[in-house]
Amino acid sequence: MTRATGFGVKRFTALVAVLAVGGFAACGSDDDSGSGSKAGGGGGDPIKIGAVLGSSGAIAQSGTEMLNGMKLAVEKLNAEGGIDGHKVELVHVDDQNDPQQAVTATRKVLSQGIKGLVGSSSSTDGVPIAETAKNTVPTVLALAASVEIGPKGYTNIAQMNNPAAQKEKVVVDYLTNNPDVKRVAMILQNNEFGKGYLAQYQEAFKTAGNGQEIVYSGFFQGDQTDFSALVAKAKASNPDALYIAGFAEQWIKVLNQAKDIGLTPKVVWLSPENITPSTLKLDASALEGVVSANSFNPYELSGKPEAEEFAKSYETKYGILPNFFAATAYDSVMYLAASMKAAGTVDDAKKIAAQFGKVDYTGPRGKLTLDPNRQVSLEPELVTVKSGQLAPVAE
Amino acid sequence: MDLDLTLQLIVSGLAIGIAYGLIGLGLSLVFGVLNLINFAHGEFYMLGAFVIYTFVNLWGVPYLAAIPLTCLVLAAFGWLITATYVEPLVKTSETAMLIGTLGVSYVLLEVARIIWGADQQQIEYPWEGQTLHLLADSRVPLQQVFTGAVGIVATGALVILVYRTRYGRYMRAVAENPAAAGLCGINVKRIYRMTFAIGTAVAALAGATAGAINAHSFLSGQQIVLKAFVVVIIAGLGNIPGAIAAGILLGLVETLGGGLISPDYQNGFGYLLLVLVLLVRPDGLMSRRKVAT
Repeated sequence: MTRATGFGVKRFTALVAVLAVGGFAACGSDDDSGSGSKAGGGGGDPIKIGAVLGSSGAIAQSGTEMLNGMKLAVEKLNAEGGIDGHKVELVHVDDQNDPQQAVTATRKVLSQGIKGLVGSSSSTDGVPIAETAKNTVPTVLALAASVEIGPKGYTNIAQMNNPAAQKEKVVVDYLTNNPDVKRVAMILQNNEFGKGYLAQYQEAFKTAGNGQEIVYSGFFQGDQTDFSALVAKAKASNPDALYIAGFAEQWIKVLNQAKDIGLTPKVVWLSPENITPSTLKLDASALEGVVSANSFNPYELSGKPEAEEFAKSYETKYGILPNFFAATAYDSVMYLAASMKAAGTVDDAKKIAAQFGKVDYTGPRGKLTLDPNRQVSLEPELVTVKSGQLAPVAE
Repeated sequence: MDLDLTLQLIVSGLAIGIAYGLIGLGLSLVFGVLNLINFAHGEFYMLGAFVIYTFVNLWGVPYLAAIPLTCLVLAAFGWLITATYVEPLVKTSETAMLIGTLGVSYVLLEVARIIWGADQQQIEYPWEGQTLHLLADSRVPLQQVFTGAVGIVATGALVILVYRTRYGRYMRAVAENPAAAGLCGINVKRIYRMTFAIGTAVAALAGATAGAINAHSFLSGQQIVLKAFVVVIIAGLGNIPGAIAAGILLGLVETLGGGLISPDYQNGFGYLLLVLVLLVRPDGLMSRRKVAT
């Protein structure tokens, strides 16, 4: 078919060329896109708490779960009379986990008279949030696990997540002593975490001296949907163990495409906190026997009343059990509230921040203790999938 | 060169390539007739995946029966959108058309997120987990083989429709000159609605088949639509049979480039192919026209 008039082939091709250049440029970075949203809670002379995190774009799944956790925390606070008699209102601005948008979003909520700030979907937006919010309101970062923030001495900032390398250690220790693991293939997202994990395992296998080697390592981009080249190369390296690091939006596809071409090694493990009720709901059989480090297990709640209460109310409200992201986001709001209550003020930023690391708080992830850099110290558990649920790996 | 690896890469490239071609088909048809760059095409693909997910996973309709149902639902939706939104757009400027379909894309994206949530979903199909073993232990999942077969049948059906039927003649007449076609008694509005509805149904068909190969989310359309644009350019605008061939070429270039050179630039190899095609044959590889000078 041809057209005599109209938009024209040349302009169409020029347009697609521009789009393609954008796509090519994205090969070296991870992009998100989407739109903003706002959430509210409480009522009657409320105080505002800002929430800056990505709830749309490529990390929409974990971002939505985080926002759900925060909303639940605000509901609980308000049901119990609020903080110091003030109801709490959450003012959410979506930063799409983008560093530049994180700065804009943080400035926006800071200009709205907030008394405290929570947020961060990862270290990508966590570091710019910290830089923008330093020396302002008490700030509790949720998913940021950066070791850079603490040493800078921003006393108004606490972190509810611990560094990735610390989390991974429990898996590293397990695998370096696993006789089934000799030839390892690693498929990782091309970001600081992916590169960090590769370096950590290279060092660990060398130090352990058990004859284990990384026979293949390859990176994928944040916008990639087809991983056939990566899994084919990994299979050609004849590994007996496979490691995948990345967001759930991608590692599930990597795992399935690996299975599709017959790459099914004895040991498969994932980067930390990646096995969740929503990924198990998607395809539990594909995850049977897969290993990971995990800091919140919604299937093992006995003897943990705070976790049990949180999991029950989350499941009632959202129809699925909560995961680590939701629990950490919930903890960030509750930890800020606990600090305000302990300080006996919602206005004095210094007094509230002085409670970071001192306040006694137990949440869904247990009793939270902070290191001298105001970053949470949590010992994750080594877990695997058994009969469709998360279970501790039998030592 | 590792022969086993190369064979696996060729098989994977062919499989993903036919899926790319299928996704490009509807885009090519709509551009050919309506001269409309439909930025919402990816969202129709995504809606196709979610509608069949609803039929199969939530309502228990068998997968093979749910495919035509999904296409019908999306065709009706495409018809409705043309009647209420696209037709007024076609009469306006090209910029308004571009921004207009981009607007539809964002609205559908958010609507899908509200209805089906941000989680990934996996469409259930009867041959889940089954793969076809080929030479030298290379394998291809049956769902990719099925998608390939559907792509080839859909291409054949569209070629027959456009080049061998009365409606196809009308479509080509409207593509050539809508005003003259109208003067000859062709109901141009109806042809627009029909073409857009078919284009939407083909996008939904791709969503229902290629969309089931892996888990999908409300973002799947955005990720895939750029591939469809590349396919359409490589094939030549409005070239329906060329879409599948261009898709296969794109799939092979990406997979072989990624596997034999560097997986870091798997997507980049596809765009490199696009740039080369634009330099050498800007009207498309399968176009009969030579480079304009």
